[in-house]
Order: sequence, then C-alpha cells, then structure tokens
Amino acid sequence: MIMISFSQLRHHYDRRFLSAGDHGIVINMDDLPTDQATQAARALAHAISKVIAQDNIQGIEDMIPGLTNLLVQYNPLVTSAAILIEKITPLLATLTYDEGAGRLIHIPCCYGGEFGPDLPEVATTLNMSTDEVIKRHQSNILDVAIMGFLPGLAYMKGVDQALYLPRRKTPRAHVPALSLGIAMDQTVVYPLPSPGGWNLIGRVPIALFDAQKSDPILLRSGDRVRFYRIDINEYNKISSDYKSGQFSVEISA
Amino acid sequence: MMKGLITFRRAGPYSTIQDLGRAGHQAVGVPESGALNKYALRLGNRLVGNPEHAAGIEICMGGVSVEINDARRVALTGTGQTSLVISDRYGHQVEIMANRSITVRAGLTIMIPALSDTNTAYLSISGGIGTPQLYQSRSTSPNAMIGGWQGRLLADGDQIPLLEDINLSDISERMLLNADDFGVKQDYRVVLGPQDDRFTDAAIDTFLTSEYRISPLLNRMGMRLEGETLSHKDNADIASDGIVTGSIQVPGDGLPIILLADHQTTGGYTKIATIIQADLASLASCKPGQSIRFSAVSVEEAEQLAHLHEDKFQQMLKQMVAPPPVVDIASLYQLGDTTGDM
Repeated sequence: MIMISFSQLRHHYDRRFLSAGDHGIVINMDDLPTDQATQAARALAHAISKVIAQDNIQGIEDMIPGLTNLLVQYNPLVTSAAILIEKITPLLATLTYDEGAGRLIHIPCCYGGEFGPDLPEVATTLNMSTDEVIKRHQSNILDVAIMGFLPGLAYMKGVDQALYLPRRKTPRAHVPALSLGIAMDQTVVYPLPSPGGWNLIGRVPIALFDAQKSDPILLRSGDRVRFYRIDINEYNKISSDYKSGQFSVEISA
Repeated sequence: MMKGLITFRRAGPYSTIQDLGRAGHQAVGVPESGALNKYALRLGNRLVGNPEHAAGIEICMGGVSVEINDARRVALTGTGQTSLVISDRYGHQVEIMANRSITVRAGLTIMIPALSDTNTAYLSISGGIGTPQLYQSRSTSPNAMIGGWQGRLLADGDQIPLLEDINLSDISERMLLNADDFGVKQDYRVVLGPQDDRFTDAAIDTFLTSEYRISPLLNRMGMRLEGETLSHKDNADIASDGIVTGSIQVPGDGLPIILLADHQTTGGYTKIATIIQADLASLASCKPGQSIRFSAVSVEEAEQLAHLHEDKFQQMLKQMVAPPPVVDIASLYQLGDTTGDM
C-alpha cells in the first residue's frame, strides 16, 4: 500500500468549487500536480460514494472524475450547490488515495499488420524498428487516468517516453472496434467503431464494452493495465474463446 | 395473445427510442442520453397512462408513419400545433391535436407530419416501448451505438416490441388544457462557468449580448452555433473533465456548441457557461437557422427557477381533463374493426 494524502486540499483555494450550472458542481484540484489531482478526484468520488451509502447526501445523480477535478452532477429539485459544498468540504481535508490498490489487468494485443496500420509510420517517425515500438509499448504498466468519449474507452497514461507522438493530423473517419492507438503519453483502445485520430498500432481480441454482460465495462479509472504481444493465430483463438466464454481476462491485485 | 408491436412504415430522418436516460455511468464513458425534452416525454406518458419514465419515440422534424398491431392509447407531445393524422386502409383520415391521448385500434396508420412549430416531438404509446434495457434504460445513444433498437436510429420497416398495456380499459383518454408554455423559446438563461475565467472580458460580454444562429450541424450530441466568435485568454484546451448536459463548450474556433443529451462524458475544451435546468428542455424545439440569446443568472437563482418550472409542470398536469369526442370518431372506430384484430 502506498497511501497518498493531498495536504493542499485542506487549504483555502478560491477556485476550489466551480459551477456547471444548477446541475453540477466541479471540485477543482488544479492546485495539485495533474497526476495527483487525477488521483484526488478519484479518491473524492470514492469518499462521496461512501457518504451516499450512509444516506447523508441526497440528489447526486452521477460523478465524473476528470484529470484535475471531479464533476458532481445533481438534481436541483432535491439538493443545492450550497448543501453539496457544505457536505463535500470536510471530505477534502482527510482525502487519501491508495496508489497500489488498483486492479492490474493483462490485455493481449496483436501488433502491426492489418490491425496496426500506423505501426510502420510510427516506427519510422521514432527512428526505431517496429519490434522496438512493440517492445516498448509492452514495457510499462499503464494507469487508467479517466474514461470518456465512448462507453468503456479508457485513457491509459504512462506510455514509454520514447513513444511520445502527437495524434494524427487528420483523424480517420472510421477506426475499427478494438483498435489500439497511441498518442502523447497515452494509449486508448476503441471499444466501438468510431472516428479517431490516434496512431493505430494493434488490436485487442477482447471486448472493452459488451452490452450483453451484466457489467458491460471492462476497465475503470484507477485500474492498471499491461499489454502483452500475441500473434494473429493467438488473436483468432482468443477472440473466439472470448466470445464463447472460454477466455477470461487475467486480473491480478 | 399476440405481442404488441409498433411497425415503422416511415421512420423519419432522426427518430429514436428515448426514456429519461441512464445517469450514473458517465464515469465509465456511458452517455446519459434520454429525451431531449424530458417534460414533453413525461407529459406524453401521463396522457396515455404510463409511468413518466416509460420509453417513447423521439421524433425529429417529423415525417413518421407507424402502425400498431393492437389497440393502444397514443399521444403526441412537444408540439402545440402539429396534429396526429390517423387513417385507415381506405384512406379515411382524422386529425388528432397534440397534447391529448386517443385510443387507436389495431391496424390504423398513425402519421406525424412535418413538425411546424418545433424540431422535436414525442409519440407516447400506452404500455411503452419494450426493447431490452441497458443500465435500467431504453434510451438510444446512436453515436455510442447503445440502447433503443440495436443502438441505432429507427429505420423504415423496423418492428419494435411494446410492453403490455394493462390499463387500457381502466384509464380514460386525457387532454391538456394549456400546453403552450413548453414551446419554442429564443432566450436561454445560463450560469457562467466552469471555465468562464479562460475567456476575455470582451468574450463574456459578446456571449451575453449578441445573437447566435443555430447551425444545421445539429444532433442529439450537440448544437453548433454561428455568430460572433469568443476569444480565449490563451487557448481552448483544458485538462479533460466531465460534462453536464447543457454545457456550452467553446473550442479553438471560438464558436459555441451546446452539448445535449448524448454528449461525450468528458472533453478537453473550455466551457463558458451552462444552460439552466429550467430552460434545457426547450432547446429541443430549436430549429437550424433560428436565433437564440443568452443571459446570466446565479446558481441560486437557477436552482429556484428549476423548482418554479417543475411546480408549473405539476400544475399543468393537474389540469388534464377528459377530451371532447373526436368528430368522426365513430367512423374511425368502425373502420378500425375491419382489420379483425380486436
């Protein structure tokens, strides 16, 4: 366990609470470094959930952790911004985050070829071999910073610095579902077919969003992810095993 | 007994199944979705005797024609001026005004013509739409390809299951006396923020004093506006964060986008202001080319206005009465009989 506390949150900050109309308050934590703010936002969502479970706050419809803040969506017919701020303020003073607590999820990926059409260009731009790109992409454990854009789409941070690239100048109109893309210090896997501008280097054989499952979403913010390389034969096998329920994703603590 | 089905002879350009949405899962990227005009959907459900959260058909621009294979109460809401046109196989027609329910027998065609006074209307059917639920909701989010019917816009020929209507003989037809307060609006109240401090003072002033025109780029995710551009102090980028419906996002080109029910759950552009809850549903009436203006209120005022608006809606519901008989209803019912379903 690596417990982090966020001492700055105890102090007055005139931009702590921002308005998202009469439907949301934003608990802003941009006085912390971004990585810490992301963790603090997640920790606050967790702390508020506990208070909701104890029936001490009503009217919260949803909470969305961002990179440097937490958005609390509320029903103004049931509560008010003033009430919520009064309830949330004391939680900020004691907020802690266990950095080692996230699940570690092992996700197979078939790199290159038809599945990773941008891999050769990425390798050329970075002046390394395609094998080197793949090796470096698998080397780091990534952190799911936030989710968004599509159901189940995780922004995974922590990609090897040698792979930093901007997004493509012209986004693709159609990116196939389960494509894996890299840009900046991040990796995403598109859960559904979508337009998208990330550099596509591979594809995963397992669903990140499956409406048929009781819990349709595989990843959530705070998870850690490690990708491992599979070839096309393994891809096809895992893909069909996954669909028939014979392949389960490896999740370790 | 035969299962209830609604068949779309013509589905219209942008029709979807909607209920009150699936809030609570935006942290994993699932949009809230739900009716753009929740008041109109709730009203429609009340007129046909459904719970307020039942799923109905959201219709954009009109041009929809459907047929139901058993007797149902139906109602058109979200419009004051467009009428339902109900016809039999011989071409006999009767027009039924919006904001009342009518019992329609099996096999009659129910047509929603081009919407004249609004961009969005709702067809509610007693029993409600019976498609599978995702996170306790039937709302369609076409961009995320989830909910509704196969996660997509309704298409010609679609046959959609209805839930059983157990109240048809117990609950009478209903009509609303005054529905006109829920129509088209040009003036929208906002609360500034959360990133209003990223704009120049001149930009805030421009935003609150100039007139914007609704661009043809309009869907359930958002409404782009045309008009005076708004200058950022430095740039339009923020560390990605959560979005509420009604947020007004201003990307680098300086033109505002109002984010609607199917908006992405997080985004990386500055948000200058948020439409207040009391005015949000009215956005569904806006048509491309129409102009709108913004004025600022405080959060406290907005919260009070939300209460007032809901109170007004509840008052309106209390004024539901039994409607006068439809002029040629007798022929309608008799001709309906010829299908032999009942």
